[in-house]
Amino acid sequence: MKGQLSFVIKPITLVMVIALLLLLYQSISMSISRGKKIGETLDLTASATNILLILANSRDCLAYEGSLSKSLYANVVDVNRLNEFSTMYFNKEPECARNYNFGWEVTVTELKNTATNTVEGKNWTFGAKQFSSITSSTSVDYWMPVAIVYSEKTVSPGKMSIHLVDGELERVAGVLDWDCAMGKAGKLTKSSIAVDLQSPISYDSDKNNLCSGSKVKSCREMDCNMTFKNLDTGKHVLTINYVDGKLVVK
Amino acid sequence: MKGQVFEIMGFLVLAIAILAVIVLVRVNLAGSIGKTFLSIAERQESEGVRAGVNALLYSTEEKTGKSLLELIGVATYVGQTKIDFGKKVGDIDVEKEVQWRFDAIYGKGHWLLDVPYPNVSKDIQIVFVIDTSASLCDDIKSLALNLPDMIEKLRKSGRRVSATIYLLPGGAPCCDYTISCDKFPEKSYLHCTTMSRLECKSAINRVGQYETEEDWGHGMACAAESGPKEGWEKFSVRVGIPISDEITEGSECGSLSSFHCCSSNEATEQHKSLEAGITGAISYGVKVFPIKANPCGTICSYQGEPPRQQTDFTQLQCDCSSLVSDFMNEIATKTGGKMYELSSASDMPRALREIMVSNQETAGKTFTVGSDKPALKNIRAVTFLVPLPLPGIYTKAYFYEWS
Repeated sequence: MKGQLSFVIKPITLVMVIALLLLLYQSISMSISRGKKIGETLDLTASATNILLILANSRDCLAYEGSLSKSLYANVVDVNRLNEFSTMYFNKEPECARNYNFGWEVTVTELKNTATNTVEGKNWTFGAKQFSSITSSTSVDYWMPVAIVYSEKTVSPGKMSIHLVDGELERVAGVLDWDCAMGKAGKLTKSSIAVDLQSPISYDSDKNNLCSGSKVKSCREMDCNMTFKNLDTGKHVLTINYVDGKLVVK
Repeated sequence: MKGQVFEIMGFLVLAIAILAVIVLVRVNLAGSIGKTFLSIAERQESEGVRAGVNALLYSTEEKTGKSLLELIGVATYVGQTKIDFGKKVGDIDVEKEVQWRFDAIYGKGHWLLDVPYPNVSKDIQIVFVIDTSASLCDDIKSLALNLPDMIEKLRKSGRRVSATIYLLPGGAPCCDYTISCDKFPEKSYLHCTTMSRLECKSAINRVGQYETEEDWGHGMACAAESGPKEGWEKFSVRVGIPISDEITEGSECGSLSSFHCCSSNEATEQHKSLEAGITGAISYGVKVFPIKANPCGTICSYQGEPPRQQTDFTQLQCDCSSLVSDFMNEIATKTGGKMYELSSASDMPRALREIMVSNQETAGKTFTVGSDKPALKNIRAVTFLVPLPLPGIYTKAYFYEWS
């Protein structure tokens, strides 16, 4: 009887120990992947904040420069620069705050006070208009207060909001635009990148647009003209050459 | 049997140990990632709050073109949330300006701005409008004896006080002196002038028809308009002090044979003079602190033809005492001041001291806008410097924000 009991208990113990060890493994992997996910979100939020800070505080972007003191003020933007940006960069990110890993669109909204409540006044939008589909991207929305300077004596409060997207189209276009910029500066002629695509990527040479998706396409205007062979879903290794102001992607 | 029990117990110990490892790993890993995430996110948020506050404080108010930071500086300096920017611009409610901007950005009930009033002495400019009738002989004497010393002492202690005395037309011969500016020797901070006639943009006393020597209503309007000798300083504390024992244009109405106390009716010329004084004072941001001299008892003056010594007030003046209080209280209340009543001329120094002190006390007060800080909430705090309308002087402001 004793021996039979031991014969039953031992395998059960073994199975349960294995089950517990599996649970331990799964738990550790889950924690690691959660940490990774939090890290990615944090990365996106930090990038969104940084882009807004650069836009609002850089002399090359929107920062207002005092006419007499020539000094800059924190988060104080120039209405003339806003008008320029909304015309010049209506479908792509301005170079002064370009992030080659992500795509973004920024809206600056003026706030006004009426007798009864606060309403939105003028608004200015610039940056990318189309982004990778939701399935192949993650995004974050963030905003910060700004002051909009019309003149030294007329400064309105406002909000600067960003929609930041981390997607396949933004990453691939970012690499190609980066290579284009480096090529123009004479610092790089050749590079390569490995991509794992969930949506096909195509190139419209007439419009110089790189597009993601099959039926419904999202497109971005590229900085350099390209010779680009359309890519299906799956893994690819791209070799990029900068030749006479043009990118050749194979 | 014993062996099997040990075997089961061994398994239980092993199971507990593995579960403990799982819990430890999860708590440690998730905890450290969570902490890192939180601290970075908090830093991002507090930097965002600081940048946001900077931007909002840089925005300007439409009518004045002044930034919110400047307006807060002025409000805390003058100790009032409403600032008078003169006739053209009018009053600016700094509290309201701060409120709508911060509400729009941070949301109602999610922020608090605290700016302690700075402990700096403001310019106090006083204009006196003094009844020059004989019944004021002892009060003017007391004023002349005490005012220069009082101002000098205050100035030595760092308070910037100045006074301009406007004597109403007239100037009774008192027993030992005649009411005139001779009683108030000119100093850099003390000036005296006699109003030859009560005529200015906002007030006209029809000379000849009504008593001018007691018309402190029109007198106040003209004194506010003319300002002190050096002119009204920007953001100074402006104080008007009429001194009289009668209502504006005199308490006695009727003909010589049937004198009676004037009516308090708003249609009377006396009340119109009071209204002119109120309007004039309000237009120039002057707070009026009337000093009511005692209209009963004895006086010493030379009057009549030939001049002879008088020793009594008229009984009627004494009877009209409450009407004087009503008039003086009205102008004080409507301009933000306070009436002081003297039982005798010796009360004059106390009244003057109280008026000056009441216009300097700002310590301990704060300019506060927003909602009270909630308990058990994660509150982000930002401090920043607010420039005052004095060169190189700042006060500290505290901003709190919570979600």
